[in-house]
Amino acid sequence: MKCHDEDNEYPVLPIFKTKHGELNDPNTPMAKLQCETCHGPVGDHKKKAKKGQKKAPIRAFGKNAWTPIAEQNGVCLNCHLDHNRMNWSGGPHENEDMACADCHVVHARKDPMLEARSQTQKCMSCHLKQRAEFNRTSSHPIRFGNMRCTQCHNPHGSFSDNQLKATHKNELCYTCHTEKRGPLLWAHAPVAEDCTLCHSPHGSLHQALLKKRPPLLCQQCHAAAGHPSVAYSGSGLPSGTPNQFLLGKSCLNCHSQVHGSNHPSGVKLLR
Amino acid sequence: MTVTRYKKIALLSLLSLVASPLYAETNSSEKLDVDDIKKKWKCKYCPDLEEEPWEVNLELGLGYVSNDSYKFGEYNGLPEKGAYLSGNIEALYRDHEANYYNIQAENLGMDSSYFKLDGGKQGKYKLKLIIDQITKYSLDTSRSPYSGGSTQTLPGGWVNAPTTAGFTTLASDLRDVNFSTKRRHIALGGEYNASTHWTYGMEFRRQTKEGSLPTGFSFGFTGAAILPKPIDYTTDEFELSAKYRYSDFNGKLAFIHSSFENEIDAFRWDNAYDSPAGATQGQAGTAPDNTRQQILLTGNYLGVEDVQFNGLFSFAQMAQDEAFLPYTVNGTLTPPALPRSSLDGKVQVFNTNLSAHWRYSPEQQWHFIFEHHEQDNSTARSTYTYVTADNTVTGTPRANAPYGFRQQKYKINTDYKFDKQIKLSGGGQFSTIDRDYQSVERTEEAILWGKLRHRIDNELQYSVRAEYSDRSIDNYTVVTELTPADNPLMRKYNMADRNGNKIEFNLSYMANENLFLNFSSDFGQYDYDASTIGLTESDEFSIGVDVQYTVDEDLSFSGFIQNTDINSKQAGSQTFSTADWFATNDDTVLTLGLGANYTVIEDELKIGVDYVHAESTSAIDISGGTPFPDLTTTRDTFILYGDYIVDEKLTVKASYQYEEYDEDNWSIDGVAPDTLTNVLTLGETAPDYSIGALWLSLHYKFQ
Repeated sequence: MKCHDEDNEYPVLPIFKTKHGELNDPNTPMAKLQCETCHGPVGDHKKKAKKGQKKAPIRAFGKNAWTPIAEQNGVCLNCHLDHNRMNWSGGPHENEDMACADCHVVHARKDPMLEARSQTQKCMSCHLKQRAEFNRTSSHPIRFGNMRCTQCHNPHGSFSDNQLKATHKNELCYTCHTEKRGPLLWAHAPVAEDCTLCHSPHGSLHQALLKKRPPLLCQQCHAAAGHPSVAYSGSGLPSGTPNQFLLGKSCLNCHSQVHGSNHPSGVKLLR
Repeated sequence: MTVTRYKKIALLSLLSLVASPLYAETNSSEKLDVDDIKKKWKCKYCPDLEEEPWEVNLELGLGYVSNDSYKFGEYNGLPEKGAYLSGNIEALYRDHEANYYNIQAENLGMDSSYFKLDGGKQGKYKLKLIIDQITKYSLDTSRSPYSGGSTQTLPGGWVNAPTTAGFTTLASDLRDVNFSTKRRHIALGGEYNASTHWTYGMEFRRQTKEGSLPTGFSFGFTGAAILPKPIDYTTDEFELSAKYRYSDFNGKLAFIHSSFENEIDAFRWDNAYDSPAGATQGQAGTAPDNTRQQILLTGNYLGVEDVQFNGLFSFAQMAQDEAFLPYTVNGTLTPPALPRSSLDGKVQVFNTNLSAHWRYSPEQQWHFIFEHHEQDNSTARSTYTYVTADNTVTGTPRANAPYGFRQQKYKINTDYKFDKQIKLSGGGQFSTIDRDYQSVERTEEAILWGKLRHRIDNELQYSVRAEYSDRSIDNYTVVTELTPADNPLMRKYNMADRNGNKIEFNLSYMANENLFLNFSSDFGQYDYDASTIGLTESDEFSIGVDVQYTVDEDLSFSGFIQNTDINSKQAGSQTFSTADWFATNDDTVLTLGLGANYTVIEDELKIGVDYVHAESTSAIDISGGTPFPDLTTTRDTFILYGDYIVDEKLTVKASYQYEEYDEDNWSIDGVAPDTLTNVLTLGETAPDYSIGALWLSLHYKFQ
């Protein structure tokens, strides 16, 4: 600590203004063995390095640190293997040999992973495709800083696919979109099963995060005789004969209760 | 990471006492008394928190936006031309008795803002309060003759007519109608560490959502209008939890009660048309009040060497019993009485997840997972002689279908490290979905995947992942209760036979300490071979490059480019027989970003620039039909920002954002409120703007 002040390449003093640096909480590393709780025995690291040589190493953290990643993460999980991190082992990020310190900055006054914008930037530095998806015209407001990735995902692993925080996709969506939860008298069958059958949660070039534009989206499932089966083409644009099944909200000009209806006459999602 | 590993690390940490010079006073030949050592030890280099327990940062900003556009302000709270005032607060407190408080407030005074207060006595208890508000602007060029709230009325003198062409007073009756929704989330809760083993938690959450949404309703098979439908939702959640940790066991038991209330039970609107007879108004249902109770138990056990067991059990009941609205408000229709006054809907939701992670050797690990998700819908069935859009009483009454399903997954994953360079992973999954009241009772899907990751050296590594999936169905039957019946050749894409292939490639190269390159690409393809009508094929190809270049500690550059093609094919039949039309949907999305950061004067002036170009094209082609123009969106966002550090306490921040957006959207381009014969639309136009936004702010640090 004598060396690692704010002028050092690895400053550590801000840790005393963080939870890890709390001396009066017996669970913190600083209240246990201080730096050595995490970094192991200091040993010769304290000694001045000989000319032309580096200091003796201690346990170090980060992707390029000499300490094996499993050992690094073991230090963290030794205290943090709780409800939120119990699925780390075998999870996607563990399988990618990610170190906790790849994302978290323990010595900093504020871990950037705890702030929406900096967290998003960190996630997007690897998840490049998702970064592009959030720049699409219809998207959840991640790029505006109003949402963070961890509102839906648990990067430490979870009990469901894609590290979702809920046990089922829809349960996660209902967290904010409760009005679609029901149960409803006239449910739209795919809605309760999986919101992502129709929506791309990260972003879409079609409005309302839809995977495809109606009427074609709806016609992937609905082919009854009559207007659901008609091939609507460019002739239905204002330059031709404006078509009510194509323009405006297309199918939703009338069937607006597409997430289900509780109206006794809502069988066709018109009411 | 296994229990053995944890114990070894803890032991190593303990043993470090012996080696640490900090404990030089200890005679290593004596028995170590850790507590005694810790009492004697004093950290002479640790900062004294008493001297400066508070750290407070205040920022006050003034902004100016040059033009109106809901799309520019969609989520940032800047939808209109004019000046804006915004404040940020960050206050951190920590003293030498483990008391701490954090206050974080962002964008105070703006439509979208965030406030968080958390604090407590570390190791004993913690409390938090969060108020998060997001306003979404949806439209600002829409016009409608309707006004009101949950009942939308037409102006006096409105001329009803069979089609929009007959709305002779429409032009003079149109008024501007803007659409937005405001979502506010409040959470208040805390945790108390009752002992080293038990932690109890309690949290109350309230979410409200208010505003209006453009929503379409019709009378009969014609006579539709897009209306400003108000929403006023409140969701309250209350959670009680208990966490237990002892030796190799970790568990949590939680009870969550959630209730959803809608202040608007029904939505009414005047009929702009002159038919059907008696239908001067229509009435639609809204999202009904409902509740959900959940009991959740999770835990893990590390007591078996090299194996970690995890488990989750959850039971929830969703209930809804809102009083039904009448079949119709059209007094000239006389449908029979409702079979019941409310739904008494009940769905029981069961979740089970069991997994075992086995670190078989330092090189190899196995992961076994079983998942069960079931929605058992016990809602009573009744037959409803419904009225079609306040127009006609149906001749074919329908019984409601209480959809339920059961989904199970069995997964086995393993990976093997040949050495530090090469890691092979692979796995398989078999899943089933059983559904009630749908065309397919059971779908089964098998997935096999493999992945190679090769770290050639510290600079270069790549990975390749391939996946094959095969979904099959037991039998596809048309649901006979649907009227009119579906084409028997239709295969709904979530229940159709399907073969899928995916391949992903990633290459990262750290050329030197200054230059990092990443290249990634993936391709996925699904064939719905047994589908004659419906979705028949889909694929997605994505490619991206990411570059980061650090010239020195004062100057750095970054850039990325990502292109994604999303294609699909589907078929339909206008003659209710075999496929007689085919459609292709080819979407392309290109996103490009460039950025630079430069420290002009060390510890004094920093500037940066970000540029994002995002464009998309959606090309739809219907066989034999008149071609569609492409649907396109283009956004260019340029942001220049800088921080001038006046002294240790005061920083002046400035940013200028210039954004251009253009959209070609044939769904609304050229569609005036009365363009469609039978749909009175809002006549909105696609966003097209050039906007500059300037922000100046003072950031002051109190210490």
